[in-house]
Amino acid sequence: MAVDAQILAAHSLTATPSLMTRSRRVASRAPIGVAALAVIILFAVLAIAAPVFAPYDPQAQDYNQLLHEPSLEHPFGTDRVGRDLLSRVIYGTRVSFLVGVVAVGVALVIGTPLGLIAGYFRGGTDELIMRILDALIAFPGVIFALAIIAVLGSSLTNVMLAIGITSVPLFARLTRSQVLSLRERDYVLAAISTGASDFRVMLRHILPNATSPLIVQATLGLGFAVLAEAGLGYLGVGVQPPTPTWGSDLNQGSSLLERAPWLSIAPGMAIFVLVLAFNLLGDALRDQLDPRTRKA
Amino acid sequence: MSGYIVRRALNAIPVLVFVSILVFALTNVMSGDPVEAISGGSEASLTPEAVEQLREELGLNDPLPVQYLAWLRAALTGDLGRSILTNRPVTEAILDRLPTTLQLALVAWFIGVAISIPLGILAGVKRNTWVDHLATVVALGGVAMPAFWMGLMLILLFGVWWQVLPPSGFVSVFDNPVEAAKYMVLPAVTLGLHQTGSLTRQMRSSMVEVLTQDYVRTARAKGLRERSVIIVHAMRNAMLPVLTVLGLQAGALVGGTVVIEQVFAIPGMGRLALTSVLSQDIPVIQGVVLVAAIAVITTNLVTDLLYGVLDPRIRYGR
Repeated sequence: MAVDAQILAAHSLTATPSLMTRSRRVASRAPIGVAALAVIILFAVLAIAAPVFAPYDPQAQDYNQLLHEPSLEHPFGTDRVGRDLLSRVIYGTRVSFLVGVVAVGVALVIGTPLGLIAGYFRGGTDELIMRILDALIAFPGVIFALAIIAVLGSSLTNVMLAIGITSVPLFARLTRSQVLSLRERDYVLAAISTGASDFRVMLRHILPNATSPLIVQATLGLGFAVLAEAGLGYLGVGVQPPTPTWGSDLNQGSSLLERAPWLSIAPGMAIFVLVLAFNLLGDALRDQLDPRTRKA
Repeated sequence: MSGYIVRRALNAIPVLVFVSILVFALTNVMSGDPVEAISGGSEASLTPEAVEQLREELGLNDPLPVQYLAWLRAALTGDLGRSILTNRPVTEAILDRLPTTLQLALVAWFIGVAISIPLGILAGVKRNTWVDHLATVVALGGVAMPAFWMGLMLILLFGVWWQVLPPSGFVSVFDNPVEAAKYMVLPAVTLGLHQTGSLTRQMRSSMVEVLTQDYVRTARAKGLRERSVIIVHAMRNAMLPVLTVLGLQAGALVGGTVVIEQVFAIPGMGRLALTSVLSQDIPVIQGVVLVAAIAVITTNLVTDLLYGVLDPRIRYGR
C-alpha cells in the first residue's frame, strides 16, 4: 500500500537500525502488545494450516466415541456424533478470521469514504451523512444484524456483510472527526490554494494522516467481529453447519451443558483469548501510534 | 433550559425519520415479494387474478413513497401489521414481551453501574495499585468475553454444579418477587458484567483526568480532607463523560438481551426477534427493530437532557 510505503520511507530517513534491534526495541516498549500479536499470529497460523495441526477430520464422526470427555486421545473431548472438538476448534479459527477480516474490510471501505466526504465538505452533505449514520447507530448491533440476516438469509457472506455494515458508523465517525481537524492544517490549506482537486486533497493529503486511529479501530473491530460472529453462530443464524465455527459449536454444546460441559468450555476460551488479543493489540497500537502516550 | 430541551428533541426527529425509512426499506424492499411470503412461497397455487388482488389490497402496486407513507401512518397509530406465522398483531406480540425484557435490562443496567462506577473511581484514585490492576482485568475480560459464554459458564457453576440458583427460566416480579429475584440473578449479572468493561474504563480515565485539574488542587490546597475532595469536587465532574457512555450503551444493552434471553430461556422481546428471524416472519422483525431503535433514541435523548441539567455549559452553549 502506498501509505505503508510512505511511512516506511519516512522512517528510513531518520535511521536504519537492523530489524532485530527494532523489534527488540518495540518488544521492550510494549511487551503486552507484542505478546498479543504473537497470540494472533499463532491463531492465524492455526487457521491457515488447520489440516496440519488438527489431529482429526473436524467432520469425521466416530460412533464409538460419542460425548467422550477430554482425554489424551481427544484433549477437548468429543461431541454428540463423536467429532473431535480440538480439531473443530482449530478449523473454527478459519471462519473467525475470515469473518473478522472481511467485516472490518467492509466497514472500512464504506465507512472511511463517508467520513472523508462528510468531514471535508461539511455543511449539508455532512448533516445528511451524519443523520443517516445516527439512524444506523440507533439500531442495536445484534438486532440489526439479525434483521439483515432475516432478509438476506444466513450464509457466510451475509454474516460478514451484516457485521461489517453494523460497524460502518464507527469508522465513518472516526474518519470524520480526524478530517475535521486535519482540514484546517496549513499543508492542507496550502494544497487547496495551489489548486489541488478535492479528490486529491482528500486522498493524498488528509487520508494518509488520518490512518493511525483507523488502524487502531480496525484492530479493535476485528475483536468485535469475532465476538459478533460467535454470537450469531450461537443464536443459530450464523454460518450454517456442518462448517465448524466456535459459535455454532457452542450452540450445540449449550444444549448438553449438564452432560458434556467440556463442549461449552473450549470454543468459548478460544473466542475469549483471540478477542482479548485483538483488544490488547489495539490498545498497544493506540499507545504506540500516539506520540503523546509513547513518551510517557 | 426549555430552549435546550426543545432544540435537542427537534434533533431527534430527522434521526427517527431515517430510522423509519431504513426499517421500511430493509424489510419491504430487500425482502422481495411479500405476496410470496404470505402464500408461503407457493405463489403458483394462487391464480394470477388472486395474486393481483392481493397485491392491490396490500398496496404493493403503489409507488414506494406512497407505500412508505401508508406504512408510517399505520405505525404511528400503533399498527405494525400482523405476524405471518401466528397472524397476531405485531404490536400486541411486542407489548406482551416488552415488560420481561425491560425487567432484565433495568436490573442488568443497575448491576453494571453498581460495579463499574465505584470500581472505576477507586482505580482512578489509586492509580497503579492492585485495585487499578483488578479494574483493568475486569474491564478487559468483560469486553472480550462473549456474553452468552459467560452466561453458560455461570449456569454451569451456579445452576448445574453448585445448584444454588435456577439455571434458566423466568418469573415476573409482579407475580412472585422472591422467585423472580432468584431467576433474575444469573441473567442480570451476566448482562451487567458485560456492560462493566467500557464503563469502568471510562470512569477511571475520566477520574484520572479530573484529578489533575486546578480546582482539585485548589480544594486540596485549602485543606479539605481527601475524601471530600474526591466525592464533592472530583467525582461529580468525572461523572459527566461517563453519562454519555451510559447512554450509548443502551443499544448494547438492548442487543445483549437478545443473546441473554436465548441463553437463559427468558420469553422476552429478544427471543421473539430470534424466532421471527428463524421463521422469516418479516413484520415481527420489522416491529422489534423499530421498537429497539426507538428505545435507543429515547435513552440517548434522556441522557443528553440529563447532561444539560448537570452541566450548565451545555445548556447555555450554542
